[in-house]
Amino acid sequence: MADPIEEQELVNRLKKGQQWAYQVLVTRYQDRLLKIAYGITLDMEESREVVQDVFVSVFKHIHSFRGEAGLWGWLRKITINACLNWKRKWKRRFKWHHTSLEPDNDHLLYGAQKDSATPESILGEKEGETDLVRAIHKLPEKNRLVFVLNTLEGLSYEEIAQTLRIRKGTVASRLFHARKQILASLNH
Amino acid sequence: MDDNPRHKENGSMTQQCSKYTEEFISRFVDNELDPVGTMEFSSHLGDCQDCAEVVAKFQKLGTLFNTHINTHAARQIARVSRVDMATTLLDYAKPTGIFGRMTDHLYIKLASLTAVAALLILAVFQGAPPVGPSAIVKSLDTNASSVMIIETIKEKHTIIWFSET
Repeated sequence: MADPIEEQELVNRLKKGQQWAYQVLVTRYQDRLLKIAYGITLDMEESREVVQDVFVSVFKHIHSFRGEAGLWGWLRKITINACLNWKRKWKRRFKWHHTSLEPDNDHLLYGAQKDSATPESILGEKEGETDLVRAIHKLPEKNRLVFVLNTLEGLSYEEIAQTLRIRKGTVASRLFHARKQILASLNH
Repeated sequence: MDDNPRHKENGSMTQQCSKYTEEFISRFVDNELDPVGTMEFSSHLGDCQDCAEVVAKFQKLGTLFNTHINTHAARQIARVSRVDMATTLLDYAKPTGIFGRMTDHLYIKLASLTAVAALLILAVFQGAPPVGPSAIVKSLDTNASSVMIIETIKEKHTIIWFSET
């Protein structure tokens, strides 16, 4: 986590429109935001666009940043909303349901394994990992979001509840159902 | 009937133990139980293979997903051109207002202005008529006739024009 004083200084400089501050912001948070976006969309290309839009949005609205949840919390929330909007956009175009349910990394995972990996490794962790991504892909959006925030970001139920503006009990329920649905998919 | 919500009431596809629900175990995995519940279940885990398996499965999901993100996703993230991304974003970060608009895409604007100026110069110097007369004219007039000797400027051709009056 960034030093709060350093973060405040960064925000001040961002509000002054200093270009190096924008560069620092991108360099510092780009990877983490990409991971969250990828966790939700499971599509790296789209994640790049989402994160790019997030930074543009941050640049435009930095003056409205009040600092309650910290800079990272604010960035994360914008990213989550951007990902959800992205999914809704694709749903409107009927593409989300018509694109393959395979995550965009299958060819990489399988391609790399066919040539170099041993049969044991193909049937081991990597296959489990690919199946897991496929199972997560099938999760309802609400459950997946909670699963990603809990697993990837390590957020507590309280933090997830605040971020998504839902009840703590709802977080617990969605997270449990996400796990249950993933395990059910893996067992099929 | 056992009315404790943490205790299992329904059957489950992955758990045989009837003492705790999988939702309860899910909360245990996330350290979201109260201290008493955590202690009780931790103690139970030592004796119950079924619940231990559910805990292991839930934990494995998280581990696998994190591994996937930190290997595959990180590999792809590393391929994202940071410079390009930052440069593109800096375009958005430029100051707005009159000065900002003037300095946006300065090179493109300068190139456009240069091109327009070049076109204007070409139009002026190629499309306009040549400066001065179209030929050097020498003439001789008498009472009976007139003679004009004309030399074209460009090709230096000589034209003799004769006229009887």
